[in-house]
Amino acid sequence: MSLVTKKIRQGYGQELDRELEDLAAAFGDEARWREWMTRVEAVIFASGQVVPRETLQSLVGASANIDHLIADIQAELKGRPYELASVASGWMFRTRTEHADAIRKASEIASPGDNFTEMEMAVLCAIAYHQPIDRDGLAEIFGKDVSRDLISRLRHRKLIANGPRSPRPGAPHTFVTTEEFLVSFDLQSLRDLPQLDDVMDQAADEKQVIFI
Amino acid sequence: MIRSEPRPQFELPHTLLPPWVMDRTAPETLEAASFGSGAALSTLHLTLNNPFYGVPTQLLRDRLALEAAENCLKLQGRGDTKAEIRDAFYLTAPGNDMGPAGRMFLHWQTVAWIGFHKEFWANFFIDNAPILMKPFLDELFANPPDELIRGNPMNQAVAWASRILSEYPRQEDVALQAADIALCRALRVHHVVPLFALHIKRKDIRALLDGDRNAFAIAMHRAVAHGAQDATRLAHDLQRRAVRLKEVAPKLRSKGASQTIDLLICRDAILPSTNLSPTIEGSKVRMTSRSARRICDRLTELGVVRELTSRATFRMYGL
Repeated sequence: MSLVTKKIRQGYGQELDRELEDLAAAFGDEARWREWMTRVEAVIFASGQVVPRETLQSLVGASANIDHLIADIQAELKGRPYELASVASGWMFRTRTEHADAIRKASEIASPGDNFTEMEMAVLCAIAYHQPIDRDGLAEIFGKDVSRDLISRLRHRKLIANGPRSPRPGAPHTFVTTEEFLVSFDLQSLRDLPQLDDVMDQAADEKQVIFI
Repeated sequence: MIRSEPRPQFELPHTLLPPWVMDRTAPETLEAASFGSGAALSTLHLTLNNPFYGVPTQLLRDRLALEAAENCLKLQGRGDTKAEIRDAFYLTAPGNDMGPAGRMFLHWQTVAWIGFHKEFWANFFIDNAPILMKPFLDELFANPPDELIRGNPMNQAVAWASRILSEYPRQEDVALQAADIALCRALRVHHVVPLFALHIKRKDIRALLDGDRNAFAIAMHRAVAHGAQDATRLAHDLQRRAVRLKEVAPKLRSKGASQTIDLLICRDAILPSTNLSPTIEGSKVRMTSRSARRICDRLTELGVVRELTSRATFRMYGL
């Protein structure tokens, strides 16, 4: 075993202390219970998905009852605008339903476009309208190379995926938009993309520059 | 070099059907249109079922699926050409996304491969459709309303398309696939032959959505008459090409030549690097990518197979 792997084994790879015997001995069972609660809450908070019971059980002592831990956390969250909700296979954080209107309003204002740079948005549009298209094709549209970083950012957000290979030397991948793309822009299908003519007219009215 | 014998070329007349089938001067009535569709379907039936003639029906349906996909993409406002559709379909590596054009062809091809003798054949069609439509289509197949299963085959087909379009006005492809399935089933054909989608226009669909069912029915009859005519012409063309391809078989020395020919006779196009190599699709015969390219080049040289892309690389071949 090399030195590096040995170090990793000793440091990061260390088994999580589930039982927390030392803590219980020094500060009592109360402190240990609290530590377990915060652990469970932190993991559910950090997760984007529903956290199943088995995952939570692997974080705390064998004797700890997950349902009791959850109940204690829920009691503490009373009066907060979010709750720890039990869903089909586990638990997740979610906002209380009475705030739905406010959240919906806010998400209308913060449309998905807000999180994109202008160039990212333009490249995404070009791919949506001209798919399947490869980097050469994008370069033809934009008059310059589109950086691989930008493409991989879009791919990382699952808005585009690899399409058919382009019949050019080197067989580069083309890009196509994904289901995720339709969902995040609230489109039923690609036909809901605005007709390019309309967009152009609108842009001419507003004297905006459109990249496509 | 061995050359194929020069053969007398029979030029087919532009219209195989008698002119009265497509009489454009006749008033646009349902009677006139249904007379035409009936006559055209009957000609197609005779062509496809002549045991002495031997039309490569699998290839015919595959190519009609490509035509249908092209026109359906047009209905959706996309302008993909046949070449672009083939590129998207054949050049997608497993696990990657074909994009809208390739997917459309895949769906049509799946429908055109449906055989009614297979159990659960309807699932092939239903699983193609968007997932949101599944409960609706399941119900429609499980308990079809009377109008969808009674009456003459054309009426059934039109009823299926209207029913689906009135519920999902933007799923023309699904509606037209259902119409083809209904027609072929009612005509007791063993497989689905794509016909309606070849000639339906956007304005026909709009007529139905505006409530003009009669205009839509006329359009469907006309579409099937034109579609059946196209299919008949294509069937004759492919039959002659298939015969010529089989004739050159003895001249080929390459191992796997007969399997290659079998594949060419049932597919719209083949990409040597994936369809023939490392093994020839539909068989266990191995072929290197080099010999796959060579046999396709050889067949093109003999004039029995066409190179479809006119590119130097990523070539595709078909009858």
